[in-house]
Amino acid sequence: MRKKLLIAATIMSILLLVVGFYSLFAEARYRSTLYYGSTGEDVRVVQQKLRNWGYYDGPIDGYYGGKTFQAVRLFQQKNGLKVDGIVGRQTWQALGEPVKPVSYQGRARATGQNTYLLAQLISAEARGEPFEGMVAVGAVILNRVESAAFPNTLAGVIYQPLAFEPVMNGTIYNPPVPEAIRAANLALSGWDPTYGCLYFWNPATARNPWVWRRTIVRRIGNHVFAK
Amino acid sequence: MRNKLWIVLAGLVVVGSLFGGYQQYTQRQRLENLLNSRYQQAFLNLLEHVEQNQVLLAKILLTSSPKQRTALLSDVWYEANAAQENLNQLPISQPILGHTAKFLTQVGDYSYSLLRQFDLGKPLTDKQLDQITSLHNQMLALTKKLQAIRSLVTDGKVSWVEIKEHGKDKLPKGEIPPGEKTFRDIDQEIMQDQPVLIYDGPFSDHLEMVQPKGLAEKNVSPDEAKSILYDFLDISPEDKNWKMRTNTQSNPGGKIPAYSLKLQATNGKAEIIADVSKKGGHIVWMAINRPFGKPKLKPETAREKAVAFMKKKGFFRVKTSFMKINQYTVTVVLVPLQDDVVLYPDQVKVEVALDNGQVVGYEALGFLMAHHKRDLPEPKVTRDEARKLVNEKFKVQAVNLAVIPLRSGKEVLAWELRGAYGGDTFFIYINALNGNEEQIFQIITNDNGQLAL
Repeated sequence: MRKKLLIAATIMSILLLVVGFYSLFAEARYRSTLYYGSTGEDVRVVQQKLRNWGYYDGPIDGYYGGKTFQAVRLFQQKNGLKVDGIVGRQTWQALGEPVKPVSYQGRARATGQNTYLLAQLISAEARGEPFEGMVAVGAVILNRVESAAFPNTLAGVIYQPLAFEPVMNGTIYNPPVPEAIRAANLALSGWDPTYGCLYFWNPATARNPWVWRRTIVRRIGNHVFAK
Repeated sequence: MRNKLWIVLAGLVVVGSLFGGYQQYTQRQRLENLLNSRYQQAFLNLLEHVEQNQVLLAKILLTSSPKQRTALLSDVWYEANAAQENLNQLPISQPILGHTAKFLTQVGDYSYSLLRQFDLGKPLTDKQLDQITSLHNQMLALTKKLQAIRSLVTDGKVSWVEIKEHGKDKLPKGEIPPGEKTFRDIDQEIMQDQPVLIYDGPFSDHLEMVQPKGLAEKNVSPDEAKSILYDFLDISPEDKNWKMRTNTQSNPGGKIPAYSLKLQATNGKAEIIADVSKKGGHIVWMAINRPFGKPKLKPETAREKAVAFMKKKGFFRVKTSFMKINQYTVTVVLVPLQDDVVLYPDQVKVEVALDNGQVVGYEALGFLMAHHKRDLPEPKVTRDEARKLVNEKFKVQAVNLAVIPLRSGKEVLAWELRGAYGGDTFFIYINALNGNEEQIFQIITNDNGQLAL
């Protein structure tokens, strides 16, 4: 019998503890930012406080209307806050309400769009070329990103004015062929058949005379690759 | 009567097409102006950042206050990068702009390296002051050249779009458009005799002269290279399914001179491409190009296959550093260990197909450039000391020693601390000799695995 009582008492005290903790956490709810048109309990709190201090003489109705707005502005002005009629962190603090401390927000993500953009240009520049030639075109573009003489981002290199014909004539926006996607992945993982080349061109169609002054490293399909 | 109707109709057509044409014309004009304004903005921004830069460099030479010098160098770093970004937006082809772009990048990178040097308590040397003087002089010459065409472009006499598109029709034969001419002059008069700039930064000129450390001594013949590749791929030279083809035209003159070889499947459905180094006969990289079937393997199984593959090639102690999941394959980055120290510079990449687990890609350029038996020093900072050196909010989960490459290409022995901060995973590297925090990586997940940033 005593044992039973003891057990019941233990259960009761555990329950009490749980309820106590729960209410503790419930207390720890922070106030939300309020502005013209907001409604709810938080608005009531503001209205009540402002009325107690003589800034507000309207009803405590939980609706953030014109009168509340005027009162908040007056309060902000008197307390040296930014006068914007918005009850944010600073204003809540001045009203004596707890505000949520600034904390680090985790779980960052990356888009991983680079592969597709690179594949689009490879596909447009080197369609019909041997697979190795596609990887090589991707590698040249990535070598440019790493080079001091070119823009420092992938988009900067690809969209540099006059750099790539497919960007000028719009063929870069065609969906890339599957080999180009694999080639882009390889190039991004570091495969570089050109050993650091920065230029490539088709000798049959290139008109620009300066290209021949470059040191040609190798030839793949219809393209030559040079430093 | 009928004639009149035709005349009216023809008149309507003429008026309509005139109207349409005019609409097209104004629309085109607006687009052209819009484009022109972007180029104009880039040019004027460039000029402003270059002018600022010249002034800042002069101030650095004049000041006697170390604090002031730090502030000025940070400004140079910003102004130089901003100038480079605007320069690269001009509609002038890169070969003409290249030297100027490199100059601006190096000025920024150089001042950043000097800031890091100050941080370690080392002041500027006389040689570095000379270096800054010559950079200042070049920046001044560049400023003058840009100022000279400023009035030309701001009063609209020269339009950037015209320079780009119809320069040839509007100018007398053989003459170069003024914008392009200015940049050609800059390239030839100012930038050609750019001094070689060597310092502790990623764009320093010395990094282009790095020689491979991981090649064996012996030179191999083309035939030996072929049998090395057959061995590597586990294909018999007599196998009738594959035909070896050497690309005779190829003459790789890169960092590692190599034979480039190609194996073609006789059924035409696959090809294998690879480079075998002339010195040492190493596989520099290899890729199998074939159609892929639906992924059947789990990435983890693929990773085990990659590790097993490396074991077969004689790498018994490797650690998986990183995995990238592609559409049909997984790329596994493996790093060797030397006495439990992870050698990050010596990484090898193995790509495994997810349909049948075949190794379809291999890349060892980094490994061949960096790998050598290192004389690793004894750490002067202990494991526990390293743990205490990191931010107390960082929850350390694992600690090990590693050799890591710095931005400048140098290597340091460091404690690698893996841990969590606010739900994110980070790696922090503490120099094992002097306790400096050398590097922090945040591991960011996306749909294709994880990225270290």
